[in-house]
Amino acid sequence: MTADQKKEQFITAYTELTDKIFKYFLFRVYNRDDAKELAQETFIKVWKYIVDGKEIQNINAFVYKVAYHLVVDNSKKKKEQSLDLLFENGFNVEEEKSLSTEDKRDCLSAFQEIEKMDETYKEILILRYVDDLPVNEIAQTLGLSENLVSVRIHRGLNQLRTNIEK
Amino acid sequence: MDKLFNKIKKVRDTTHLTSDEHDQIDHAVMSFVDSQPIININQPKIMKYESPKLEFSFFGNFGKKLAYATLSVIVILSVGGGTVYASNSALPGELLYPVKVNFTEELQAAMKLSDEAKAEWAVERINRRLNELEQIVGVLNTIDPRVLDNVQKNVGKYGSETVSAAQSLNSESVSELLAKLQQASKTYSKTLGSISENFQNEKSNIALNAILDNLENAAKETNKIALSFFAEQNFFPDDENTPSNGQQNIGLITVTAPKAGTQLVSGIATTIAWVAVQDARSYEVTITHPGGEVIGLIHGQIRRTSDAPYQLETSALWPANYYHGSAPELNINKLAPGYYKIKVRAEDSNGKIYVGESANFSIMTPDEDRGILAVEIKDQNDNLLSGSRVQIESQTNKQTYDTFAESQGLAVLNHIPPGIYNVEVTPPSSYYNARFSVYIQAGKTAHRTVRVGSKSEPLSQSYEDIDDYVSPTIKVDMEDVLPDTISAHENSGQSILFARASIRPDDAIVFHRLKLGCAGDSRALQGATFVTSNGLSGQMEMRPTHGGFELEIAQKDVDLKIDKDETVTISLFLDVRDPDEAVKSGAQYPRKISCGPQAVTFASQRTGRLIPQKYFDVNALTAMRALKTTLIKE
Repeated sequence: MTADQKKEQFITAYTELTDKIFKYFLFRVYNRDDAKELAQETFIKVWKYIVDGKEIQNINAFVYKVAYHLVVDNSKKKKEQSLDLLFENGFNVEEEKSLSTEDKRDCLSAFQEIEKMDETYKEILILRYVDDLPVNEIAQTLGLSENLVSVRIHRGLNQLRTNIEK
Repeated sequence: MDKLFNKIKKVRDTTHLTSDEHDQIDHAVMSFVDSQPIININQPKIMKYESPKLEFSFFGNFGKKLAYATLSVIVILSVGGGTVYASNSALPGELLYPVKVNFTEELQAAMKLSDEAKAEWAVERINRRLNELEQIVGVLNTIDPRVLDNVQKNVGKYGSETVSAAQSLNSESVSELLAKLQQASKTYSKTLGSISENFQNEKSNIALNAILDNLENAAKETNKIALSFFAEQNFFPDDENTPSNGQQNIGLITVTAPKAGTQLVSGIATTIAWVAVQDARSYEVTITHPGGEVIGLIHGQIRRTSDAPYQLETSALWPANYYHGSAPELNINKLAPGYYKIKVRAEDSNGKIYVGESANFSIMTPDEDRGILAVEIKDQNDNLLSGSRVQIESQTNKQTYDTFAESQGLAVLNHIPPGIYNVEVTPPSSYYNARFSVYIQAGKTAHRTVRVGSKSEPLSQSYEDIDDYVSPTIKVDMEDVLPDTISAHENSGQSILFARASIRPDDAIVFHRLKLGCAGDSRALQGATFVTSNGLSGQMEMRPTHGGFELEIAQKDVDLKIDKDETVTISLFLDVRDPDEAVKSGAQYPRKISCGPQAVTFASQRTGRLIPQKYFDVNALTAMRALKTTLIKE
């Protein structure tokens, strides 16, 4: 791949994924500004990786992988984050006017269910059902095999179901 | 189950970045992309190191100073012997003192067989003399200038003994010696200083200064040896012609040259420098091909004259286009890549001949796929500091490289695989270490100038004081406006002292020492765009080195001004200045600040809403230098 092609590939991925990656962070760090900052950092990291001449197989999965690691780093650093605060303050921007208070509350309670889950399943379920990533990309993001990801999705759903029924 | 996720998705799908936010991120990411183009590795290699002319521009400021491949040829002469008396131990001025110093200790010295033991003993004796001086001043509260004179002579003598013994030691032992000498210098310079204050006697002061000078010289010379270890191959006098006991004014000639297999990188010049001391003698330094074919020859004579202890005369029989400069330092140009040997032949005043020959070493052109790091280490007053150790560690594979700064305060690391490296500069012990990271590019030289703070300066104790301390300055060549992190810490390795940067009009990034504990996360500079006076712009990416960026003043003010259960609007003003206190508009810098979990966006209006709580971890995302952060309650 020539330098131009690499740049083009990056820009395509960037254009396509900025919003998604922002949301990826938003639903993990629960802070709009942090999410923006982390999204920016993600793409800068990816570009640096490309500049260093390293090969990237699947750029979309790679972007998520970088994002995932940033969340891990970020959660170590950050003191407690509040999901409630996100819903109180974080969504107060024009685009979300269509959301009713009820919608927000529903989302919040759904998230609280997911938050209760084991780390092992939580991340995979969010990637699968909130971020809509296909199994193979989840596998690349987390550095796991596709089979393992499928098994965990299955187990995670079971756990979630049991929790809700309790 | 689907219902559950759909509830989340409904909110998620209606949440987007606003167009302003998009712009903000687009700007930051794209300017980063533009500032760091992909270097096409398939480009044909350009052999830019062949011509000396090119090399000079390649090295920029350092030009002539930088001897990329320095072949040190050091001729050191030590004079052994000395009159021997007989006796025991005491303090200066007492009857038995000369016996202790000149007999007992000398005898012990003679019994030290290994060079290491000799050197250690010499350092120990330096410590003893200074300790005695301390004691005598403590007891008598006065001092005889003759005593000082005597101590000074002895310290000078032991210093040279240390240095000559150190010549044949390995690098580890030499660093140990160096540390001991520096320790002695540190311990006693205070004592000597107070003596000098108490006894306002010019003669004593001269002697005191001479003692310190002797000590420092010894440290300096030892340091030189540490520096020349890359070229480690000892030459000893020709056995047939030289008595082996080293007595009777016979000089021991030690020449260091590259050891077998050493690969020197041929850049602009290959400097051959030497130090020759005392006694009429001549010598020749010859560079040959391994087969013996002579490439060039330097012939020198040292003559003692009445007004100068020694005088160096040198003539070079070198093809004229191979050298420039004048004695005692010749820069040899255009040594083609290949294998070489150095031969040294010296003659003392009695006609005795000393010869030595180095192993083969090779001169090679720099790799196109490796990079070079040149770090210039200075103190706050721009004096060059020699002897600083520069260590780098790759952020990816933890591979480390290190070197010492030579006499011009310049440390050069060649053949570094491209990548991002953490650099640690360890200057002489009276200065703070400096750390930063640097991006090494293939076929390029990254120049950095580090100004290290002296420990004798008081530490900044409040935020307001910070601007009085500027340390260090990192010179950024526009060709390598690259990821960079600067932080400094005390030698204990614990306290980060500064982590802010500003751009000076002369293209340098200046980092300011912060109060202890008020250290910074270099994310403060993440993606910052800067514009220099000459119109060049760049993007910086700082790597987090430390938890979060605590903007202490902000925390304080917010705590003070916002009452519980009250929501207030605050304005946060961020003045971006250069060190000359000219306020820059800040228009060049993104202006987002977020405080803790509460998002506050300071867009063009620079105001935002905060709810009452303690704020921590203020990420001044791109604040180049938040000199004044004023929070005003409306």
